[in-house]
Formats: sequence, structure tokens, C-alpha cells
Amino acid sequence: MSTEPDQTPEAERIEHYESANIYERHGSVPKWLAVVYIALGIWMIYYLMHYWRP
Amino acid sequence: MGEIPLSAERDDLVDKELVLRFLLSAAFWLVFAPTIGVILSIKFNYFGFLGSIPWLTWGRLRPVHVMGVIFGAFTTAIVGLTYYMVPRLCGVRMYKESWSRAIFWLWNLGLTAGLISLALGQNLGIEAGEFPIWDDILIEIVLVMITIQVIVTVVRRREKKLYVTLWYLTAAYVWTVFNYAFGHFILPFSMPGVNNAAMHGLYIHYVVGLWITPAGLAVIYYFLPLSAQAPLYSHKLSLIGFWSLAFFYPFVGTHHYIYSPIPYWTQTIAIVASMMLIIPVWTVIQNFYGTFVGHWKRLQESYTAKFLILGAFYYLIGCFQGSTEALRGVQTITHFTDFVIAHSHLTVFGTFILWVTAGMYYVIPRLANRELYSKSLAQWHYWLTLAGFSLMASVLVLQGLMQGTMLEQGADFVNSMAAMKPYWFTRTIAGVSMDVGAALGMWNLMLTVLQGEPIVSHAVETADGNLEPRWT
Repeated sequence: MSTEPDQTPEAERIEHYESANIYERHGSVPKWLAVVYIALGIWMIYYLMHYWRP
Repeated sequence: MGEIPLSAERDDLVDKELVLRFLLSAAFWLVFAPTIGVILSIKFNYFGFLGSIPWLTWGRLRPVHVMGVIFGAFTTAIVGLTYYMVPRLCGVRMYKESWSRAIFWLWNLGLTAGLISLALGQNLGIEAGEFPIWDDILIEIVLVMITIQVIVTVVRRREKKLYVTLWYLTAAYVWTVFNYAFGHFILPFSMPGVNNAAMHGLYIHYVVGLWITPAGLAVIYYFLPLSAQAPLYSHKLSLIGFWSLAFFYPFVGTHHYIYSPIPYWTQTIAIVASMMLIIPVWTVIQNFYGTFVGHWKRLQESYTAKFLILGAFYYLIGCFQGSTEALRGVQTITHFTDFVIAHSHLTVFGTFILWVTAGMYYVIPRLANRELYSKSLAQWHYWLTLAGFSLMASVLVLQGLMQGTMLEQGADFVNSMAAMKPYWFTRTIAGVSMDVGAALGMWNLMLTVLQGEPIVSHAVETADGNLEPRWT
């Protein structure tokens, strides 16, 4: 897992939910996680095509 | 961003007595239901344990354990935490507060009556939906009332932005109102045969994935940034985690019927959806990990943080295990073995029970306005849980793989059962450890309310003159 500093000011923008006193970064998607999403998406298409039977 | 500055907190929006009542009754169920689990575990090795008294037999007590954990321990705590989190996040008091006291009594009455009826042999015959139908009507009414309260409070909120906890909570209640009705009023009386089994699989997994999971995630999303004293790592990841869960989870349930007579393509969809759940799980874990980076010292100071992070660890393992378990190749070994039991315990107990426990450690002292009674008892609770549950999960995984492999190799079924005996015994020891830990923890929280030192200020001054929040 990584928490490399985000490059964009928007990612570092903080929201404050006042009544609960919770702070939240806008954030972004880490590169390693984006790779996982893509890999799973490719696997999903392969598996559905290969194992689709009545 | 440095440490979060102290600001006035809005506990005046919360019905403190009501929340404490719900959480302390959850504390009772948190000890009772797992204790039934220990009794069941003993019976694996000593089948004559407690004799042949009908209401103490395995078949009667097992649903008491399962329903007691899901609806007694977990759901009672979630309802209490809902009455804490929703007003705080919306900036207004809960809609129809006059309903809440009635809901407390109806909920506990329905639960008690349901569990007693299970012990007496009344059972609807639906896994995770075993309460008799007269009790289901009461439970459904209570769920509908709470859902209306949550939705109207959110609509009437003063805080314009919707924090991720509210997405999960609103979704969890709405999904569950429909799922509970489906599983209890439609499923037992329609769609005979294999179709009913497939729909049954969907019902069970909607309890786990569209109630327990989102409600539990609502809790950790609320208490994690507070206990870390840091901003939540990423709103974007919150969005991806929520919507991917909502999209994939509804298709997962028929993975309970891999290699069964249900249509092959249905099984394939369930397998794909199960693997795609890696997306929401790894997304939220990254979000939690990112929040805590640079704030790990909080684990030494906050029991809320300890239990949340421990639960997150088990969530990662349990969900990866669950996703890969759906693959056909893995299923040939693990189906009908204790590997499946490992998964259900890693998720329901290891993750979600620990997360609501964390919420209780945060809320109870705060609302009672008292210091946690004993740090020593809290430490015992934590370490007995960690040691006991890690042992239980490891043993169940190993014995499941062993059992499945033996059967695949043609071993006699009775011989495969006999080989499990030392593992079952170890599981019982692990369960006792967990139960003792839970009992000490819940006793500690009860004593906090009754005898804890009154909190004079919610801030403490450090040596260098700064103010820090008082945390448990």
C-alpha cells in the first residue's frame, strides 16, 4: 500500500464535517490500486467469456 | 495537515441515555451469543455435553448462536451507534425521537422472544433468517421505523455535505428492510426446489453484504479519523468503495451453490462478482491505512483505534479468503469444510464485531461522561481477543484445507471427521479466550458507566501547554 503525496491541490483539499468534527481529504486513487482495478476488470471479461454456459 | 484542533463537539444532539441503553444491551448480547458458540464448539468433541435436553441440543443452539451474533450483538450495537452517528453527522436531532424508546424495548423483546423460540424448536428454516414469522413481523416493523428515522433525519440535516458513513448507513437500512421482508415473508413460501436454494443464497449474502458490511463500514469510517486524529485519507476512494460494493455484492450470493444444480452461468456470475469484491475491500483498506499513516502512535493510546485496525486486518484476510474461495478450483477443496466457517468468523466476528466494539469504547465513556474504568481490563480484552481469534481463524483454515483434501483423496468421511478432533478442541480453547476477553471488555464498559471517574474536561493539557483530547 502506498500514500505517496498527491500532486494536485485538489487531492489535498480538506472537507470539515463540523457537527461530527471529522476531516476528510479529497484524495486520489493510488497507482497500484488502479492497476488492481484494471487487472481485475480484464480477468472478469476473460472468466465470463470462458465459463459462460447454460 | 497537522493534528486536528479541538472544537466544540455536538453530543447535545444525541439522546445519550438511549444510546447507552442500546450499547449496554449490545454488550450483553456480545457475551451471550459467543458463549453459545463455545458450547457448540465443545459439543464437537463431547457430543454428550449438556445431555439430551432438547433446548440445549446442537440443532437448537446453533441458530441461537448465529442469530444472536448477527441480530443480537452486531445489530443492537449498530442501532445504538446509529443514534449516535446520524445526529452528529446531520447536525440535527434524530427524527421522531419519541419512537426511539419504544424501538429499544420492541427490539430487545423481539430478539429475546426470537432466540427463546429457536431454543424451543420453532425455526423458519432459513439460514440467518430463522426467527419464527410472528417474531419477524415485529423485527421488520422496528427496522422500518429506524429506517424512516434515518432517512428523514438525513433529509432534514443542517450539515450540507453527506459524509460516507451516512451513505453506508442509509443504504444498509433500506437494503435490509427489503431483504428481511424477502427472506422471511416471501422466500419460505414460494419458489420451490433449486430456485429457492439459489434465492436463499442471495438472502444470506444480502444479510452479510448489504447489512453487516455497509453498517460496519459506516462505523469504521466514522470512528477511524476521530481515533487517528487525522483526516480520512481519500473521499475519492470512499466513492469507489461504496459504489463498487453496491454494484457487485448483489450478484455474489449464489456462490454458496457452486457445483450445485443451479444454472452454470449463475454460478459463473457469482464467482466473478465474488472476485470483483476485491475492489471495494482493497479500496477501503487503502483508505484506512492512508488515514493512519503518520499517526500509528494513536494505537498505543486509543482502544477504539486498536480494535478498528485489528478488525481491518481481519477484514483484508477474511475478504481475500472469501473472494478466492468462490473460484471453482478452490471450492472443490473447501466446500462443506471448516474453511467456510473460518471465512464467516473472520468477517462477522473478526471484522464487524470488533468494529462495533471499537465504537462502544469511543461512545460509552464519552456519553456517560466518565473515564474508562480500567485500562488493564481493556488490555486483557484486546489481547485475549487477538490471541484467541487468530488461533481460531488459523485452525479453521488449516482444518478446512485438510478435511477437503482428505475427502478429495477418497478418505472415508468418518475418518476425516475423526482427524478434525484436535482442531475442534483447539478452536474451543480459542473461543474461550475470545469469550473471556469479551466478558472483561463489556464488564469494563458497564463499570465505566456505573463507577468510572467523572470526566471534568474533554481536553487534557500536555507538558508543553497544548490541549489534547481525552481518548480511550
